[in-house]
Amino acid sequence: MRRSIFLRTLWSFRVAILGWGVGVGILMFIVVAAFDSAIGSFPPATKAEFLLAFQSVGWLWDYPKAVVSTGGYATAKYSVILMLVSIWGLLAGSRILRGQEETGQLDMLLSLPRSRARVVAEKLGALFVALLLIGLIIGLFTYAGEARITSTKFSFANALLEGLMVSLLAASFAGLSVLVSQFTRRRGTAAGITGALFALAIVLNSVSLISPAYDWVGKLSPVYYFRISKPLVEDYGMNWGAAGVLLLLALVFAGVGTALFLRRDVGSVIPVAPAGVSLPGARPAASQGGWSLRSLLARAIALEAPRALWWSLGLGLFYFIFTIITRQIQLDLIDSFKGTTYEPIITALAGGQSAAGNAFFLSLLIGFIPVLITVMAVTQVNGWERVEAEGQLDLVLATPQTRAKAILTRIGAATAGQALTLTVTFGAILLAAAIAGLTLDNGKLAQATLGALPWGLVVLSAGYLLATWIRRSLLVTVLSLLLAISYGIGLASDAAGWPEWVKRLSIYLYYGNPLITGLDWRAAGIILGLSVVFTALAVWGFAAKDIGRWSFLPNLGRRLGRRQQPAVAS
Amino acid sequence: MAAIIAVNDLTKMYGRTRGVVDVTFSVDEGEIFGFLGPNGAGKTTTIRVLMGLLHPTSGGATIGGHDVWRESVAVKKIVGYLPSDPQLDPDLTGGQIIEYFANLRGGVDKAYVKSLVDRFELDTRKRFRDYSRGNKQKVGIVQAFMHKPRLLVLDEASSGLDPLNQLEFNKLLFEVRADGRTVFLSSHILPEVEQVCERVGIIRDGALIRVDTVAALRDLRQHEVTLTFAAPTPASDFAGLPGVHSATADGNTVKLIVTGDLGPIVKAAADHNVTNFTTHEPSLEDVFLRYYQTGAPAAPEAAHA
Repeated sequence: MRRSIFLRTLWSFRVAILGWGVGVGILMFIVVAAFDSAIGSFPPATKAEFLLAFQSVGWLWDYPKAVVSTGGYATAKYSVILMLVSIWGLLAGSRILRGQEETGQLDMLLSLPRSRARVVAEKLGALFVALLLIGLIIGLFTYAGEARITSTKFSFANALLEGLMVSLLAASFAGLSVLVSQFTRRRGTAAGITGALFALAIVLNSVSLISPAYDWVGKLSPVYYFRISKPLVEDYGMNWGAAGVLLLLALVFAGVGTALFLRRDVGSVIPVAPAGVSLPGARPAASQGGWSLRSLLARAIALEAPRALWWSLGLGLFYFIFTIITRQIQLDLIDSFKGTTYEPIITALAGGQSAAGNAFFLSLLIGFIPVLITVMAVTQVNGWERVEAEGQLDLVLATPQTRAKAILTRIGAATAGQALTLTVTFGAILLAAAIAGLTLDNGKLAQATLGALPWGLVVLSAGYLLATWIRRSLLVTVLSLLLAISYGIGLASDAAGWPEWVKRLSIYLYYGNPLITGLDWRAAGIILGLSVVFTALAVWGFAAKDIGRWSFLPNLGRRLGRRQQPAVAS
Repeated sequence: MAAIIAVNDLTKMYGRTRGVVDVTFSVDEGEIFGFLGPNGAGKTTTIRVLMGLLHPTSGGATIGGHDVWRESVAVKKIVGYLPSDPQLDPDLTGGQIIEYFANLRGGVDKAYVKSLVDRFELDTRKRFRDYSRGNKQKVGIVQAFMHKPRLLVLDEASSGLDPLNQLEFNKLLFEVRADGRTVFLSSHILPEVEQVCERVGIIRDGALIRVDTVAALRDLRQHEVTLTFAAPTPASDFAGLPGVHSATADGNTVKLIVTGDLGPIVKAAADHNVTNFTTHEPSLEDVFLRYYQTGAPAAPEAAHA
């Protein structure tokens, strides 16, 4: 595996290939295999209600009639999960060039008797092959699920094509990330910008679902081309043109990124702004006021601020737009039922004046808030781990500051970042609702947004705890997988008929539906309590660990065996 | 003189991998102590234990009477530390980094900081990421010295510095010593240590194999003596003489490795018809290298009390 850059790079992706492929694959297996016992066995009336429910979230899914078929149900329910593979794609895309430039590894590689173009080609090739392997594994698991049911079927080829679409979407964002990283000094900035573009792509795709008049907006988004190809849906099928567009986007983004890389100095960036103008994230050193250098806490806040601002901006914009879109969907529904016997009911529900009705329409959207805030927490943990892995903690800890203070200030700053993001999200929904004329229960909205903080904190603290033992290269993968499994359990346990205790392993289950029923304060309190426990353990683990080294047992053994050690002479 | 650093039976293992094993030594207040060893010998491991960044597997160390692990904050109040490859926030300028660390330490004399910056001609306006290797090292040096610590722990401190800055750095070390403060200087470059240190500890394969004065190490130098005779002469005529470590004969030539007085050899040679007599004194570097080589005497010696 060390004979070429291609194989070495591919080998470095092995955990991600297996983790994402098997993790997402198992979810697909479960949802497909459980179809017979779930939707397949519904009486026609229940199926009709099920169809109506999917119509109410028309911004997410454009082919409701297929949700009563195996492939349609799996695609509709897990299309968001399938798209998440793109997050790994964009993270890896930002790492293969810019990440290795940051660590100096690329200098060593480029000192080998190989052209720059070949080095980049081998790395990109490995990334795209890794994505294809992830898609292949997902396809195989999907088909394995199909083999266990008797109702509506899809072919093996179509299962593989679904995996291919996942790979192509992720490849387009991986290529975009490579391109964006030519303009940023840091890998994290490139990943953040590409992540924001990914979120924007989802928004643009959803806008195109409001009305055929907005279809052109969707065509600006790679997610649109992923959506218009549904290999698992029998009467919809694979859209080869859409697959071709995604492939083309991946190649063009990666190609332009490569061309820019070949023309610039290693370690430099392609300037995007005129002299004197700085972009967010570029963080000109001179602009960092003296306040941020006064203490560990001030420095932690300064380091966390750009991330918090980006996330606040992203989530605020996301929820502002979707609240407006929700109002548009309500108006479309009223229009479509005009003159029918259902008009009064629909008007009462979707007229905009009913807080309960509006909560129904917004609840699924709001349900993503804990998911998004936990993803933010993963990026925060990654930022902390990077500082230790790069050796930046050595000198800080050589000053008379305690380790507990060093870690707690970072956790405190990250908590403030999450709180800011949720507050902005709350404000954005309030503002959009006011503009669109949607009446909402502001108290419940506050609970639904600000009340998601414990979920962010529990992942943040668990991540800091894991960072004591797991090195950075694995940490994000492990944490992401745990979250995906937790989310997947919440999605799949009903369909799979799992026992209640399995369902309760999902942290997202406890969030409930606060916009409708209010926040479950007891559950939130327990989650918050867990995060306090994890934080205490993280501080304990960090205080005991060898800085710059990661292992579980030595720390544990040392703690247990401390009293048996010979006394230290003084 | 009281010891400011006391390392007692220090062992650090990374799982099954050896870091350092049973290392014992002490450093007196006011001296410049050199810590010599090849790459991977255990120098950085020892230093990171001293700085409280690694926990000893067994044994331990004190600095200024404080346990380096349990009382690490008290230790760090009296120490200035420079790692072998200082890593700092790449987005900050050199000036901002120095300001940040001055704030974290407190009580730093700004005039002294400025004098350090001027001495090393450090451009403090550049971002850390844009500095050359040498300039990054200068930022590290300034942050280590700026609070005038009682003890400086310097790991490969002069690496990356040009000759002029190395001279300036050595001057700084002498000023620290003149001030009654202490320097613990790790290096694998003997001439650097020879110039500034009174005592050195040599570490190899994780074990401390010698602690002695630089002068004593010089006394260990072995002479290579080459005797050329008019006729073939057996090496055995010289092998048993005092101070002779080895004797080999090749035709009319006999080569000897000798420590100490050459008088007995001269007398023995006088019994033969000597046509040439040359001696070669190995450099201290050669002495040092001998200690590095596997198979050379490696028994830990008694630490300096």
